[in-house]
Amino acid sequence: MKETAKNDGLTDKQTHHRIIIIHRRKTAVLKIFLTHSLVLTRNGTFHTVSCSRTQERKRVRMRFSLKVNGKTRVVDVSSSTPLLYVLRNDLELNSPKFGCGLAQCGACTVIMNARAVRSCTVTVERATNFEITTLEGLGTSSSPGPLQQAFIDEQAAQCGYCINGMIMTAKALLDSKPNPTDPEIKHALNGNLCRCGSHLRIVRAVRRAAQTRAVKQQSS
Amino acid sequence: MKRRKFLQASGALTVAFSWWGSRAFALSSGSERVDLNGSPLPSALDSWLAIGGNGSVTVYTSKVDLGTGVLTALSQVMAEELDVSFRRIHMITGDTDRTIDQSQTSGSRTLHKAAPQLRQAAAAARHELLRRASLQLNLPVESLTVEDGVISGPKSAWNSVSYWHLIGDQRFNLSVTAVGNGADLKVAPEILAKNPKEYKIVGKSIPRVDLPAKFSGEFVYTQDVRVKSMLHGRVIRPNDVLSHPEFVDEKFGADVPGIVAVVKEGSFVGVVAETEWSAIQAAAKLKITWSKTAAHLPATPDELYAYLRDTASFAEQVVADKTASQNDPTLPSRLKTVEATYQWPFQMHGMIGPSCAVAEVRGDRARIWTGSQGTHRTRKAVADLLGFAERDVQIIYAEGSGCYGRLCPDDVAEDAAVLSRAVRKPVRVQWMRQDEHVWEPKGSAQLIHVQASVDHNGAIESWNLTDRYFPYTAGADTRLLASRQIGMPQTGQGNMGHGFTYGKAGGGDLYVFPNQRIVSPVVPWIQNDLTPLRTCNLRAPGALARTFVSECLIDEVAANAKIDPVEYRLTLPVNDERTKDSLKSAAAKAQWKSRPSPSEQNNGAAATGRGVACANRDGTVVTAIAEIDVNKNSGKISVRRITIAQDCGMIANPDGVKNQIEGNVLQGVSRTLFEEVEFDERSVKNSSWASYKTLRFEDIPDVDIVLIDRPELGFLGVGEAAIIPVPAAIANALFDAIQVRLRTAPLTPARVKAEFFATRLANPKSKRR
Repeated sequence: MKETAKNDGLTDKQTHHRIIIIHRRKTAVLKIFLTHSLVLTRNGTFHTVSCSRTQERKRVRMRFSLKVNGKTRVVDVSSSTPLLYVLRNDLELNSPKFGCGLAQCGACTVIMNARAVRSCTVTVERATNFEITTLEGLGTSSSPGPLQQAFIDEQAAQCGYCINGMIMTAKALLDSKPNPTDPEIKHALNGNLCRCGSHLRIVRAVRRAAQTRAVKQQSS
Repeated sequence: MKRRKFLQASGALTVAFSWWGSRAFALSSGSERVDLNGSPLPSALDSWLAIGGNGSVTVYTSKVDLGTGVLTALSQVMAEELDVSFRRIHMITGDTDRTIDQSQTSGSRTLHKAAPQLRQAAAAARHELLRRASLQLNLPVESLTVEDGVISGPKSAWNSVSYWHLIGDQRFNLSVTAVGNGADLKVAPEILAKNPKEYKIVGKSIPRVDLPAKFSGEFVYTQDVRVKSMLHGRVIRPNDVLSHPEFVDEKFGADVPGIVAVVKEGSFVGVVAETEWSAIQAAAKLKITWSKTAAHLPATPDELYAYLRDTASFAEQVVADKTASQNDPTLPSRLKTVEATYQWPFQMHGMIGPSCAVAEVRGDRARIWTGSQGTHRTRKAVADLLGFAERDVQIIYAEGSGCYGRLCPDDVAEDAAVLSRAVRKPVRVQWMRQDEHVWEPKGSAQLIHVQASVDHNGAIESWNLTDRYFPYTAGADTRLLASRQIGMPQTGQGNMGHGFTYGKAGGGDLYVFPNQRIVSPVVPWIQNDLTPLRTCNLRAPGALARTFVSECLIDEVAANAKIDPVEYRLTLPVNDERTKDSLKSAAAKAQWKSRPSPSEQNNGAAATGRGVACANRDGTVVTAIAEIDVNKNSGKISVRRITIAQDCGMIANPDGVKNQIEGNVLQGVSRTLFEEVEFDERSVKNSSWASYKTLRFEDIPDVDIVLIDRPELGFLGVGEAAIIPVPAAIANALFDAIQVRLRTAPLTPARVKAEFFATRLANPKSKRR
């Protein structure tokens, strides 16, 4: 651990006291080392590096099998992990965004068995029995799905951080109610927050997607 | 080209760099090309753009897209000037190692100030390419034409050569004139740019380049940047002003899987863990005893406004101070005084995605990805904190959530740097919702007093407006949060030195009155102490509140004189006649019918009203007309429609401008009706969206837009013009509906109801209403 302190980039300009407590995990067993050392920095001040004594601890990670965008994915995470972090960090599906972690804003919305759900408050354990769809499951930028295409056609975003939630909530709405009225669209999206003020375009995009689908069905 | 890979490959999830390899490339290109801080020199044409052998054009700019679509517009400007198709343009933005400091992205200035700099660089490049083609083809420059990067002689395609053949993947090695710096930098002024009348790409509604990837989850926001061996960090900050950790549990960590480190430096406390969820849990579980601090802030809104009223200002900005010679000595006796005091609260930026940064600090070098409005400025702050030279810190812009003011992407860059330095690995830090709500710097509260003397015809003889506000305590030259907590010495006075940070427009300066005084006294605010009620720029700084006051007072004068408010404004002498054009256009679009306010139709519980207001943001003139419904029993206002007529000079992308206007209007409605930061003497009370209401889908009005195109004026800026007149237009519509002048924002149902019944008691004649 001394080595950590020596090389950690602390500069001699800093004269403040500094404590770093470091723990290291080794495979299933967490080993925590104890050393106490005072390290002299280049300008003559000290900083302390302290670590606590070796302990053994049980493995808390578990394997979970998730059905995401039609594929089965296995992850090795702690059971309390919200689905959002598993999708983003373990499966590298970036579309669901962290906005509040409190199910207040909707940026993290995914579809679980046809329902729009806030993935920040569903644990991975609970999500195992559902068919999960993320924005990536609707299409790509080069081959967008019909709802994504409607958002492109209406240029329905500014920063777009909220837009995952908008599209996924709209997708769940249109799947259950193919031809919603404007008040129904607004009602469905009312729990999704947007700060840039793209609401009008988002409503137009959802309406356009519904109309396009209706026209296609009539002609087929 | 290795160094350009990251931003071009927007679909890539993991950023794989050979550490500092790209930097070596940058520095090996010759020290004469970079300034002392390692940024490219504006006098080298190669600093601005590069022609690729593959037919691409790469443009370098410190201006960043904050989610407004401005990069699409800038790309149009570059494609236009170079005569290449739009799809060839790639933008590298806000990278301190690769872009010139053209000043931060703010204040509706990207197209106004930076576009001409880039355009002139493009014009200089085109000039040079034509010169070389002329030599190669042995034809005079005047006979050459350019189409999509192919330079051709008069007769046939045989006499042609392309940009990519002439200079593809090579440097121009050409100096251009560059005078001044930042927003005022003048680039190659001697080069004649294309006549706007010939524009084919500028002025078109080209779809935004970033949106398809944003609609599919492929776009890489700051929040999505991942580097190899990256760990996750969280910071733990106090809820209270001036609080510092008296106790941090050093034995902590045994029961939190995946924890790597607890880092404490001064008052700064953070955790680092292997997974994001571990970091979140660790931050929540870590036992910290925060010091109890004495009462520090005004405890209620009443105390706040009393503080603003009674505290001596330390600086005063005079926007107008004019006294007419008194020709008619009887005039004062014939004048009637109208006067009022208005209150505007602290408001939040309220980013949907909390601030995030990824930092990699190794040895004496650092590389940080963050969504800062001004990466060059952030570089200085981080370099100071780490004790590095600026040239050894690279800040790379990665778009975050739309922010509308200087915000915590700067603060979080420092947080990530401190944690990365401690664990010697790359660390990603994202703030939690509570961190963002409590610790983001807020838009300042304002207390504005206005007094006008009016003759019996409704002509305003004198106008006196005093706008009291706080300076930025999280301003450009003040320390960021981690620096303050770690105990870095303060840098001078920050913006307390001059204080004039909250703009000056909107206080009645649209009009010309014989006697006119508009002043902004700046009242000291908690500056050097650590407080969650920091202040900084919030979209259209100060102008919403000032316009709320001035345009409501104009409305009041018109109502007293029983003149239609649009017609009344058309009779007033104005500084810019374009104001009247926008007024007429908005009135026509909204089918405005001439009559004085208030409306005489509103006898039932449900009333309707309409109101108008005008504004000018650095030359962009805009008129808003609001149509509202208000329920007299509940006090609830529903905005039905807002009509905007805007003249922002030349229009680069009409749909982009409309998108900005819609966003401005909806954010304006939100700030007018709902938004107010609550606090007590120690802390900010709004720690989540549950207690800070913003506009939702069921609250949105329709927005009708008239764009007035004046290409001869150049770009004037659209980022924060249309929001300015919205509060006044809604407040005037409220008066039109129920004869209530509400002078405190936001116009909440409780305030509307209270004021309605108070007005009715005070004025029994209007009881039937």
